[in-house]
Amino acid sequence: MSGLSERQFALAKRWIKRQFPTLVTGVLFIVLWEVIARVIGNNRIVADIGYTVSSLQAQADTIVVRVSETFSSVIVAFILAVVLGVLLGMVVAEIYTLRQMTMPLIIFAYAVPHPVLAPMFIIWFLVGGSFTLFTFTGPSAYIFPAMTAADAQIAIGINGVSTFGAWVGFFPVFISTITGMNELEERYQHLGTVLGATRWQMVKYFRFWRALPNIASSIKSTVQLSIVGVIVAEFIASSSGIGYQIILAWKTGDLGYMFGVVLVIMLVSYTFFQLAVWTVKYVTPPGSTT
Amino acid sequence: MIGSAVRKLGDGITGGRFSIDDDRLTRWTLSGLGLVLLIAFWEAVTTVLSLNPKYFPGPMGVVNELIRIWPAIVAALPNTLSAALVGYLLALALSIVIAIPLVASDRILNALMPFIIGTNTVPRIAMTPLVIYWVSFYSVSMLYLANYVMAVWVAFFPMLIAAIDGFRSIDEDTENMLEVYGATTWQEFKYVRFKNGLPFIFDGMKIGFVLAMIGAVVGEFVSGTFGIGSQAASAIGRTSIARAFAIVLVLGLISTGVVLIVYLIESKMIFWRESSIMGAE
Repeated sequence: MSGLSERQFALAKRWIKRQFPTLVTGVLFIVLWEVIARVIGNNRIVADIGYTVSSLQAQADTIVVRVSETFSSVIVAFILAVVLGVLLGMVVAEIYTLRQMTMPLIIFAYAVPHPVLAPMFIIWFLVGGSFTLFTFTGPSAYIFPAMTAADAQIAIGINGVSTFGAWVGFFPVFISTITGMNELEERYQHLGTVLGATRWQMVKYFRFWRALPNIASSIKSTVQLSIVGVIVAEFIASSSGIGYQIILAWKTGDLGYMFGVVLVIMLVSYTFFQLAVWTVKYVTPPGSTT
Repeated sequence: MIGSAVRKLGDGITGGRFSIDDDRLTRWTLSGLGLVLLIAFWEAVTTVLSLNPKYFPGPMGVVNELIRIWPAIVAALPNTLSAALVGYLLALALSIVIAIPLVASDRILNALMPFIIGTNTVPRIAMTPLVIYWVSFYSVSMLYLANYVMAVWVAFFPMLIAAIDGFRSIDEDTENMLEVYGATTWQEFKYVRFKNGLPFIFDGMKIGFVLAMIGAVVGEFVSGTFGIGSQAASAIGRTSIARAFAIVLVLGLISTGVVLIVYLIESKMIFWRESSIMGAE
C-alpha cells in the first residue's frame, strides 16, 4: 500500500465495483458474438472473432492512421462546437429581442435531420478549400516502424468534415447555455440590482456561472454528436477517416474488416466519451452536474 | 405555504398591463420579423457582394431550384418518409413494450442497463454499411429495407431510455402508498407509472422522430436507394448548394412539422406540466 491512502483504496474499490456490470456486459457480448458466428458458421454473414481480429491485424496500420484522422477532426469539431455554442448562446440568452427573432430558426435547425446538411458543408469547403491550422506526426509513425513520418502526418484543420461535426454537436451546448442563463434565481437578480451591477457584470458574475453546470452536462451530448457528425460526413464526403474505411469494406464485401472497423469505432468513441465525462467531472465542483 | 401562495398571487399580478395574449402577439411578431430580416439580409449579401450563385445562392436562387427539382423531390419523399415514419413508430412501440418488463424487474434492469447505456453512447450510425450489407445479402432488390432498419436502430435507444426514466420517476410517497395498498405490478403501471412517464416519453418522441429521420437519410446516403438522402448526396457531385439547400428546407419543414405536432399533442395531454418544444437529447 505504498502511497495509496485508505481513502484512495476505497475509491478504487468502489470504482471497480461500479465498472463490474459493464465488464460483465462486455464479456457476455463477446461470448454471444462468438456463439452466433459459430452457429451460422459463415464468415460472409457473421464474421467470427478470429477472422475479425486477423482482418484487423492485416490492416492495422491503415486503421490507426484513419482513426487518428477521424478523432483529430472530432477534437476540432468538439472545440468549435463548445466555443461557438457558449458564445452564441450567451448572446442569444442576453438579448430578449434577438432570442424571439431567432426562435423559428433555432427550432428549425434543431428539428432538421442534420445529415442532410452535410453536402452543403462539404461543397463549400470543396470549393473554398479547407485550411490547415498545423500538422503533426501521428501516433502511427511511432507504433509501426515501417511507416514513414509523411504517411502518418495528421493535419489539424478546419474542413468540411470537422465543421459539420461542430454543427451537429453545437446544439446541446447552445440550448443549455440559453436555458442555464435564463434560470438565474431571482434573489441573485435582486442582489445584482442592489449592488448596481451593469448588464455585463450581471453576465460576468452571475448568469454565466449559473449556466456553467448546464453547459457541463451538455458536453456529454456534444461529444457523442460530434463523433456522429464527423463519421456521417466521412461516409459521403471524404476519402479519409475511419468512416470512409467502413464504406470501403462494404464496397469490397470484406465483412471481417467491416466488423473490425465498426468495433474499433465503438471502442474508441466509448473511450473518448468516458474521457470527456471524466474530465468534466474532474474540473467541475462535485454535485454540480447530473 | 402562505409565502408560496402569496408569491403565486404576485406572479399573477406583476403581469400588469400586459396580458398573456399581448405577450404572445409580440413574440410572434418578433419571430416573423426575424425571419423576414434574415431572408432580406441573406439576399442583400449575395447581391451586394455579387457572390457566385452556384456556391452562394440567394433565397430566390434556392426557391427557383426548389421549383425546378420539385417533381423529383415529390417522387423521392414517400420512400424516405415511410422509412422514417414506420421506423419511428416501430421504435416507439418497441421502446415502451421493452421498458415495461425492465422497470418491473430491478434485476433485469441492472443486468441490461450497462448494455443499453453503452449502445446509446457509441455512434450507432456507424453500423449503416453493415446493416446495408446484411440486407443486400438477404435480398438486393429490397435494399430499401435497410433504411427502415436504420431508422429503428438509431431512434430506439434514446426512446427506450426516456421510457425507462419515465416509468421510474415515481416519488417515495407514492411508492409507499402502492406498497401499503398491495398494488400488483400491472396496477402500478396502470395507475401511476404510465401517467408519470408520459412527459419523459413525449420528450423521447420529439428527439426520436428526428433520429429516425437521420437513420433513414444516412441509410440512403450510403446505399443510394432512391430517396431524399440520395438526392442530397447527388448535390455534392453537381456542387450545387442551391439544390442541397432546397432539400434541407423541405426535409427540415417536414420534421419541424412533426415535432410541432408531437408538441401540440403533448401540451394537450400533459396539462399538469409545461412542455418544451425541444426534447432532451
